[in-house]
Amino acid sequence: MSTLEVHGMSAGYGRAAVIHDIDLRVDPGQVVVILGANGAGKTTTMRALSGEVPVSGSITFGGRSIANLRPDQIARLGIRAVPQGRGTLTSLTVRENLLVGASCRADSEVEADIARWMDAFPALARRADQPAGTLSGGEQQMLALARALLGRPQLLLCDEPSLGLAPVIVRDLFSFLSTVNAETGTSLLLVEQNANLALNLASFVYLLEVGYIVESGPTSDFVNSDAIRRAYLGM
Amino acid sequence: MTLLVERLADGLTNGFVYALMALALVVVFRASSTVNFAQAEMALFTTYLAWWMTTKGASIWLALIAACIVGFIIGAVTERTLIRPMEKRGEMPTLLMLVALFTALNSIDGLIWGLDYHSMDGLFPGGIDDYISVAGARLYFEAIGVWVAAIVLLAVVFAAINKTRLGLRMRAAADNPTSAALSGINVGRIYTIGWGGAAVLGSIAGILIAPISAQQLSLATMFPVLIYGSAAAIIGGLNSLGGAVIGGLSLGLAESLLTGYVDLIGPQMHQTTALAVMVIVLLFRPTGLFGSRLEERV
Repeated sequence: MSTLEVHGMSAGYGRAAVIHDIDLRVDPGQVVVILGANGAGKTTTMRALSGEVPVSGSITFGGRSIANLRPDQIARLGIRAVPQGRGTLTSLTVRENLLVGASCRADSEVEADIARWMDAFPALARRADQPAGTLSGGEQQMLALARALLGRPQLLLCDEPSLGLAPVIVRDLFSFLSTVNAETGTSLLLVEQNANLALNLASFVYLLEVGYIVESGPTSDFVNSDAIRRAYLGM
Repeated sequence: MTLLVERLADGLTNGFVYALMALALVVVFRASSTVNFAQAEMALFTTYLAWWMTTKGASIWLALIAACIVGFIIGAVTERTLIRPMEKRGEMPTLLMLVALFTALNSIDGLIWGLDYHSMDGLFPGGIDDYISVAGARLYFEAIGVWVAAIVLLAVVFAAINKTRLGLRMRAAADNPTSAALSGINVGRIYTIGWGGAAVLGSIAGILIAPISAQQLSLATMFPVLIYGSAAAIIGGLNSLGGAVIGGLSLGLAESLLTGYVDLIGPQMHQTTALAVMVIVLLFRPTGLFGSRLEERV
């Protein structure tokens, strides 16, 4: 298992940096959450880690530098991202979406993994042969998660998995993430606006404010913390 | 009746070639969201190459294989060196680049092989007696060979795209490049392979059509194929593989029947017919007959 270590990472679009001098660390099996308000740079942080935007600074994964590698190279090294908007391959069937997630694997357990995640998400099993574009938003979020997990990542990046979903579905989703973490030992790095749910899951928290990490620490430090309120409400 | 069968057969022969060209255009469009105007000229280059090899004593089948390999390289190199750097600058520069490539390739063919018309041996027996009679009409083996070759090729392409790992990656990269990359697929390499594969399809289409084309093998051989092929691809919906095939076959048949039976159109107007059919289809179905708009539920 590998550790993600980020030092002095800045990233943005064109010349304008959106995040500045970010340090963070995710240990094997750990669940880490980045909290922050709209526009704090959460999504940019995720996209920098998954290789979708150019970065400066150092990012290592399992001791290997991954800064400015292409997204597909980073994915093959064991980091899978569940992007905001879910990234559904709409014209492919649900099953094919899952096979895409496993397309870089050469082992013989792909089918077993598909069966496993379809068991976890019966809605996906029921619609296995339908075009994935016909799934509901919640189902597409499940599909995105399952697709990422089919790559058997060591680290899963989830960008606002709760966005646009009904509360009951969000609850299922977080309990699923917790199960995945417990059963497979996959480390999770979440970005969330839904602080309460995220704090239940995570053991370590970073607070992002307009592009800077302003606080970090074990989750227990943050329960009822003023810093969280400030990060969200600017108070 | 005899005339009808002959016209249907002619239409089918051309239609299959148009279908192959349309399929090549669709494969490229799905990868790079651009219509490769140089597709037919890439094919003309490799067809010349094949013809030149046969004049040096090589068998046409060996020449076909060489043309496919060279075609793959031309397509792949074009994508990697001309198209991908251009794409960041938008659609228009890419399109201009392809039009430039169209003219450049045509001129290079002229420079190397001259402006003469050449008669080229086909893959299939093309003698005066190589035919079977159906309802009094002569169906030449040359034509039947084109049908069979095209059907086999189409079957191979569809199986490759729908049933193989590479095909799955191609469909994923066409559907949502970002997601495909995040799943570990090297999208750039997939596009390169797509362009190469499309040029192979074009090469085969060129070698099928040149021996039976009215233009024989000349600088003008592939231009009508591009017009009909792109009209077929657009009628089919530009991103639909099946649509390209149906578009190609129906345009081939429409061309043959309309120019045959409607005096007003005649041989002079037939390329106009292809474009008119395309315009009419687009008026009623802007995404083509089988094209899909991007629809997403949230």
